[in-house]
Amino acid sequence: MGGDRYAFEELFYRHHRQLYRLARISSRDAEDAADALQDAMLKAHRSAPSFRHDSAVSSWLYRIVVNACLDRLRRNKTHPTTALEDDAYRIGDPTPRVDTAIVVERALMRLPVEQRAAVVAVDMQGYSVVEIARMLGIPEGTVKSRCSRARAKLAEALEYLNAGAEHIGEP
Amino acid sequence: MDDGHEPEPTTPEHLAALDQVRRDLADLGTDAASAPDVPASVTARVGAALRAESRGPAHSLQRTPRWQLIALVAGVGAALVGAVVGALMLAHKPAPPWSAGPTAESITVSRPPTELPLPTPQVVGLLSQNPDYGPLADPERRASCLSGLGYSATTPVLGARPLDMDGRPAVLMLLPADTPGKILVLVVEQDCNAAHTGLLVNTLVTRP
Repeated sequence: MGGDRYAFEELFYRHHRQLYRLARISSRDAEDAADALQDAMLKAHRSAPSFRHDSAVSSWLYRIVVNACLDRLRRNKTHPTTALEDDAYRIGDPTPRVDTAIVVERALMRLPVEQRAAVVAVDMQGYSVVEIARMLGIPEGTVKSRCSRARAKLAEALEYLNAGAEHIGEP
Repeated sequence: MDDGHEPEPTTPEHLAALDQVRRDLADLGTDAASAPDVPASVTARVGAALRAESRGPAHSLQRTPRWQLIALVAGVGAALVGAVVGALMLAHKPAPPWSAGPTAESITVSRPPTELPLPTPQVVGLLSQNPDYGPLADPERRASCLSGLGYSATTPVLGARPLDMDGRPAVLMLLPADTPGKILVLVVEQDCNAAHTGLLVNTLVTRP
C-alpha cells in the first residue's frame, strides 16, 4: 500500500463517504470536518508502510479520522457548543426510503458536538472512556456524562422511549 | 452540565431503549452504504493533498485561508531575511558567525526517516532484554500509541527503550514485521497517543 503512489488515493476514494460521515459527525462544522479528514488522510498515508494487515484497512482509517477530530476538539475547547442547524448537513437521499441509519444520523447531528464526538468514539468506534478522556483532556466522568446524555437524547429522538422518557434526559 | 452525575435509567424499558441506541450507533459505524455523498470540494481537496504528499514533502497543501495567510507571511518574512542576509554577506567577506538557518527540508513536512538512532547490533540486542518503555510504561498509553500507529493494543512489543532523538525524548519499539526475518523498528515521541503518534523513525532491520 505504501509503495504505490496511487494506491492510497484509491483507498481514500473507496472509503471516503463513510470517512467524511465520521468526520462530519465528530466535528464542530463542515470546515473542521474537511480539515480533520485531510489531516487524517495525510497521517494515514505517512504511516501506511507500518500498517499491519491484522485489522481491516477501513477500521484503521475510521479510527485515524475520529482521532483527528477528537484532537481538533481538544485544541479548540473554548468554542461555544452548538447543535447543528436543520439544513446544515444534507444526510442521505431524500427518497421515501429513509432507512434507520439515516434517521440515526440525523438525530446524532442534532446533538452538541461534544456529545456526538464522545458517543461516536465510544459506541461506534469502540474506544474506552479512559482513552477518550485522555484524548480530549477532560475527566472520565465528563466523557461518561456526555455519552449518557447523547444516548438518552437519541433514544428520545428515535422514539425508543415511552412516556417516562423525560426522566432520562437532561437534569 | 458535564459533571458526570447522570440519573441512571432503572426501568427495563429505558435500558432496552439505550441498548437499542448503542446497537444503532454500532451499525451506523459500519454501514458505509448509507453514508451520504461527500461535497466534491472536500473530495478534490483531500485527493490533491494526497497527490502533493506523494510527489514530495515540499509541495504545499490546499488548506484553509488562515494557513494560506500564515504561509504568505512566512514567505515574505523569509524573503526579507534572505535579502538582509545576502546584503550582509556581500558587505562582509568572512563567513557570518550565525548558522545557515533552516533548510527547505527542515521546514517542510517529511516522511519519517529510516536512519536508526542506534547502531543495528544495539537495536537487535534489545530483543534479548526486558522492554523499557520509559514514558510509555503505562499499558493504556502504550495501547493508545499502538492504536495511532495502526496496530492493535495486543501487538507484542519485542523490545523497547527510551532514547534521545535529535534532542527530543523518544521511545524506540521493536515490533514483528510482515517480512520474514525482519523486525520493524519504530521511534515515537514520548507523548505518543492515538491522536498524535509523533512517529520519528519507521524502518526494518534484519533479525540476527
